[in-house]
Amino acid sequence: MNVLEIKNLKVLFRTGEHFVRAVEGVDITVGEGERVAIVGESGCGKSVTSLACMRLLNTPPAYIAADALRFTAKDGTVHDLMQKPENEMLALRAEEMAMIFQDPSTFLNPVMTIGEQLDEVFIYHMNMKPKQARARSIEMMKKVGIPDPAMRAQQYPHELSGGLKQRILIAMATSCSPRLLIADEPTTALDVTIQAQILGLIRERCEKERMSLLMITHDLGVVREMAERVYVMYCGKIVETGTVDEILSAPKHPYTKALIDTIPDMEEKVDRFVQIPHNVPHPMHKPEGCYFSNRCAYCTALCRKKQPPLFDRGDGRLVRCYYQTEELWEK
Amino acid sequence: MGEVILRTNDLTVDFKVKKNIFGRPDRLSAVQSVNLEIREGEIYGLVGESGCGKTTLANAILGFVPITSGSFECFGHTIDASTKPSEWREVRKHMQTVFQDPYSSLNTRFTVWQIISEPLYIAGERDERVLRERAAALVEKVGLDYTDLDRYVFEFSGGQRQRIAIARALISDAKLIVCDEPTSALDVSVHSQICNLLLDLREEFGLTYLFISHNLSLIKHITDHMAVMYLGEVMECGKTEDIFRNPACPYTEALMSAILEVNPRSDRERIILTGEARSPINPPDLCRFVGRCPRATELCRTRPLPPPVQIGDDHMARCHLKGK
Repeated sequence: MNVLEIKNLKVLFRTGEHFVRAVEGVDITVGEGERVAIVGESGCGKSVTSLACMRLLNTPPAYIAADALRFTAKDGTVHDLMQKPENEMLALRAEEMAMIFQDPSTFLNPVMTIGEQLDEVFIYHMNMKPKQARARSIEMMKKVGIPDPAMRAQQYPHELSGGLKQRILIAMATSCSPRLLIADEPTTALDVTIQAQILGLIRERCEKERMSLLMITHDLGVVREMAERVYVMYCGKIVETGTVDEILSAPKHPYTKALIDTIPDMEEKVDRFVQIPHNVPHPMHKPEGCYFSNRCAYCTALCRKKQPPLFDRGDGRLVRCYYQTEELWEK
Repeated sequence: MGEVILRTNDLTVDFKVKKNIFGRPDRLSAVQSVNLEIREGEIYGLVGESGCGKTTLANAILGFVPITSGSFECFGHTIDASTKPSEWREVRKHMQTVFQDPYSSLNTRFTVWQIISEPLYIAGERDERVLRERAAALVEKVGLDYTDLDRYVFEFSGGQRQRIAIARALISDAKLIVCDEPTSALDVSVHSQICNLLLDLREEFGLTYLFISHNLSLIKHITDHMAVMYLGEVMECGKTEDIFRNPACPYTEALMSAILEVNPRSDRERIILTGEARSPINPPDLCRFVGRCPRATELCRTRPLPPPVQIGDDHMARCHLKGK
């Protein structure tokens, strides 16, 4: 059963007189207890997709359309996220679906103590008394591995390090044991040794609370570490999807392949790095055919003329490329 | 490898932080007694987590922050806390820097040729035709087009902006380029472009780089020598190859095991450090990693950190466990 089902999601942004197509027809499903990643570079629409699911985009300037945007709650009711009024979304957001963001310091209120901010979740969503709520907050802080939680609860966000703040956000997001956790680049702002801690914590929380995870990242190493299935996005479209093992060991789309190749092998020293030519196209000036055609090493006349559809390879893998075979790489 | 062009001798940078206006200021130890040697033509890597002092060390060498004690020798000059501005200027001629974020390091009101030629303008060259010509000679070398000279920065993507910043660093014929996380603000798919460009330019102009990064896999491939810093102190330094093959300090080991690989060969044992780095304010005289070190012994907790120990040829580490 799918916890989250997105069908043909489109998001446009209005900038002056023009429309920028940020997401162009994306299909994503997240199964129960499944860990799914969306990987892509900045501007590929991965964050916009997740914000659209949470209905956190301001409309306008954003315009959202989808054939389906369905979320299945813990009790089995199916919610149509496109039609939900805002007050019902509010309840859904903490209790059923929760989100952690890249930069924890911008999502904490600087004039409230950590404890007060955590208490709010329990007071508003579980109708607890303040004292009860504080006890639960401290319990949650212990669960996410914060040393000396009673003291930390009385501190303000500026007194905490980035890693601790991210732990607080994880505590906040998981305190109602939601069904789906969306993590938008949760470790990008953190140091490598702290990143290892936080990724471990997110995985542990997901397993303990049986949460599904939608992980948004630009780092293929994080994908390998965290996810079972992955969607690769480029310029607002999904270019390839499949299980992490298959995609990372045998990519079928030239973009995925190029991304993996740019990461040098750790075992051998290289003198030069494999590079992808040119830059990501500007969202207003995407190429006419395949969006990757201007940077692709295997591009043909067909690619330049006509946008390839997502080919279903039958084994659960979808690839947006006319060729999608390894023979291509050897040429 | 050429001769040593930069040598630091117990270079130390402290900042004073005051809790209130009456109290005695606390000492924030940003860089503590660092000894490094950078040879001509090499790429010297500086790794560590945020707050470990790698940028402060580079800034002290560039003269952006005052040195508290110690000194460094560079291009025949010795610079310490009492060096006069005129001597500083002599040394600074030979150094340039490429900053992390090309979105904030380039002046948005200047055209590209004005940005690139600004170091020459500051050095006294006022003839616009000369400035423009010098900039024009460089743009194609960094992979930009001649027609880009009269455009403004907002028209460029992050990767192209970083190319402009690199051209600006090269124009005054500096020999030592400090690259402070030059790729970390860029998209993943342009990282390699910038790294390859830096490698090509080193060949062509005979440059030396001090390369600061927290990305260990990049450091592994690009640098010849490296130093690992933790809370202001160099924990380990030496040939990059040797350090990766045989890390001596437990912190280096932990850093390396935190690298997330896309296709890991085998199930490596992963060391996940607990806790976070302690505050750099008034640090005790112990090894600075002791609170998080998985192998700390009683000796580490009670005795001051020993001087660097020779691990191998050109490979030093500061650790009680290695000192015998």
